[in-house]
Amino acid sequence: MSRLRSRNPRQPTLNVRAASKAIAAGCCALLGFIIDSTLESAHAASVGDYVSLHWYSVVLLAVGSIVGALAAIGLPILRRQSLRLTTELRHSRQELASEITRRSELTSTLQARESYLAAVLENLADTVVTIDENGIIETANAATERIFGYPLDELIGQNVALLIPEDRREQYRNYMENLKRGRGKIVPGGSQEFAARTKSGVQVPIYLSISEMMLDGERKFIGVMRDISRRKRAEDDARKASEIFKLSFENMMHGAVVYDANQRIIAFNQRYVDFLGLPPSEVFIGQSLENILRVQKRIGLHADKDIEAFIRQRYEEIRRGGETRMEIELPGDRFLAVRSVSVPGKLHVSTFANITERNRSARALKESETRIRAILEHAADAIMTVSSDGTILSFNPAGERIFGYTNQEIVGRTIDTLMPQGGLSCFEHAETNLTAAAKGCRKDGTLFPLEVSAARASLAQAEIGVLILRDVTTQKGMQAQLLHTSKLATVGQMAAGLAHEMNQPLNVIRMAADNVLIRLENNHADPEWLREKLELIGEQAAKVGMMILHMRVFARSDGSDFKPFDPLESVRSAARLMDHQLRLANIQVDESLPERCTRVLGHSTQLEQVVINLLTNAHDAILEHPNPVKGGIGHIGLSLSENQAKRTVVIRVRDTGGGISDEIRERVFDPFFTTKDVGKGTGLGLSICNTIITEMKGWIDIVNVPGGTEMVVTIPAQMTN
Amino acid sequence: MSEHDVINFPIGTSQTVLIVDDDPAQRHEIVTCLGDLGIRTAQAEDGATAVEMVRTLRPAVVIMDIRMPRLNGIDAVQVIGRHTGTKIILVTGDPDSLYKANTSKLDVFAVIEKPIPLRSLSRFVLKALGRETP
Repeated sequence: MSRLRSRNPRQPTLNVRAASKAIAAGCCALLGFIIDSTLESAHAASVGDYVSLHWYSVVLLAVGSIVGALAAIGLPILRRQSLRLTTELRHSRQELASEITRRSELTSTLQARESYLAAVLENLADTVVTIDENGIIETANAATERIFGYPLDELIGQNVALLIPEDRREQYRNYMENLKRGRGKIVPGGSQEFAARTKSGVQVPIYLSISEMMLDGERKFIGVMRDISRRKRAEDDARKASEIFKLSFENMMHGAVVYDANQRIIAFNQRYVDFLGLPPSEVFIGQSLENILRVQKRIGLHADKDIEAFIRQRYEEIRRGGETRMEIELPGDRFLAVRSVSVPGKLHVSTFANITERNRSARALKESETRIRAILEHAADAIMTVSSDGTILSFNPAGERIFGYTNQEIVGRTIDTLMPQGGLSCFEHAETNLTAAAKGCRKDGTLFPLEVSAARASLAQAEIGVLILRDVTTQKGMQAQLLHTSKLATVGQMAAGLAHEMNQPLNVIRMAADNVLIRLENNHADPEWLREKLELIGEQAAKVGMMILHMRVFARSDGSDFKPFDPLESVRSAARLMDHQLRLANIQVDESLPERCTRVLGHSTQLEQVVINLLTNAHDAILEHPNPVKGGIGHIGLSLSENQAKRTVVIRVRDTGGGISDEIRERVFDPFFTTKDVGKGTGLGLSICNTIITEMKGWIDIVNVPGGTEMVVTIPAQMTN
Repeated sequence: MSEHDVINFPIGTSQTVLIVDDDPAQRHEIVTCLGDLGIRTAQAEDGATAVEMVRTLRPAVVIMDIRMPRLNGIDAVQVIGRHTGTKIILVTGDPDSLYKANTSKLDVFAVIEKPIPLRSLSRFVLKALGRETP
């Protein structure tokens, strides 16, 4: 502030006194002159005449005297006044000066402020746009340029509609129209969200505040726009998060309830209400925990608890903070597991899981376990589990009994302890389930026949084998016995024919011997004839010997392994044995046998047994047939052929015995099934035949042919000849 | 001719012995034995042939195995009939047939069990022929 020069106000700049004196003097002088001149110019007539003649002089004189008087009086006054004026003027000047100083200071302040404001405007993040009544942009700040992408010169003078998306421009124009016409009003402090349009056409969400001002008598509008894209995004994220939360909360498998620091519900989901069976009217935001607990008690929960004590306990736990878990039993044999987490002073959350199923499953599992254990304990067969490398994992009591090892002794050892030859391989080959014959080894070293059933299973991501082992010693024994018995039975079947077969050569021997003796007695025997006879006897005896040998081979139990043999021999042998019996029955055997045949694997005597059996059945069928074939001759067709492609040998026995019904056909292979009367035939035949052929890896088919039945035996030919 | 016709032959037979058996070797021994005795023989291998040959040959004696194809000995006996004058000697190696032969009221000269003792057979045959054993 400039300092005003201060002057002594008592010293007027104008010497008023001197001036008033001067004026008085002047007036007197003037007065004198006038009087003088007047007297001079006129003769002293009456004063009246004088006055009327020289009225102007009189007037002048009067005036002059008045003036002089006034001056004399007034001049000091004037002087005083002028002094005052001077002082005042001085004051005014001083004030003016100070005013000017002030004004200039103000101007500088204003300028400073203007720069400041300008700077603020320029650096505002928000856009500030002023428009006139028609919407023309008058000012815009830097932010406007930045946000909307227009340089200032493209904004100023343009209608603010430029910044409004096309679809809203109509609305804007109407609004501006209304405002102009005084129909609409701007609410001071009002603001709204709206999408504005940048130069590049992108829509940006903004928060717009509009205010009105009068400037130079004109209505102006100020628009402040804030780019709220980030806020919008944040809002969107928050909303999405809230939706996600809501969705999750509602759709969780668990029931959940959240209480605030005053133990009042601030959130809960429907499952919470459902799980606990709470009346929906009692569950609402703001409901207190203690009321909820009382409601629970009312509907039958916490039956064994004193509810008030429980409420106190819960509140204490919540106050302490941390996690609590418990299980609640609901009416209707349902169970919930509850987990509560409390953050003291903030909130606590309880989640409820329906563990009814789990409990039931646990119970069921326990029962199932008990059952399975009982099965394992009491099974007659050895049941054990092995790991993929053959280590025995478990072993049941039957296993202990069969093998002679205790559980402790065997668990941990490998499977080949129990099955020395190829024990492991039977598991390795278990693609699906496998049943195989194997040799088991007891603790005392004895070997015995086993039937192994092996299967794979998964247990806790590891592959294990489950083996069921059956001691088939007795079975095998019985089977062997049965086989033997059936063989003997077959021998019995052949007995009649056999007896005759053997008797024939014997008869010849006897008679030949007799003849020799008779001739010798009669001295009729010449050496040549004798020799012939003796040779004959020898041959016949040999024949008998062969038959006996054959029978012995036949009657012996076959414990031995399969050998390759010529099936043709077996067929011929069988045919020979049955020959007499068949001829007696007037049955013609039509043989169709090749010269030679590929060998097969098995026992020749067993195949012979089969063919004999089939021939016998054919013979019986023909004899029992109610309508005998014309001419009274039955026919049996016996053939052997090889199927090169399939590498099989096929033996067919066809009879003219009238065929068999489907029901019988289904049952023919059943052991002890027979169509014969009691006492005739054991019924063992075909079932044993089937066993024999099956063990040779072949099969028997029964086919109805015109007038009778054909039995077709197929066996695989030996691979390498 | 059916098996069931009863044949009536004229009385009068030749001095031939017909041997009926399906085993040629056994037939041969019998033939040898009888031949040594000077007896004329003929052979048949089954019952049906035997019946035919009895008609044509009119043997004095028929030695016949019971168990034969086509017509067994016992049936053949029926067919050959009583009035032919042919004497029938049944032979068998089978106990059942033997039993049957012995118990059924057959008009046969003899039933002999196999193996046939040839000396006995000779005696029977000579007797049947009306010749006494020397």
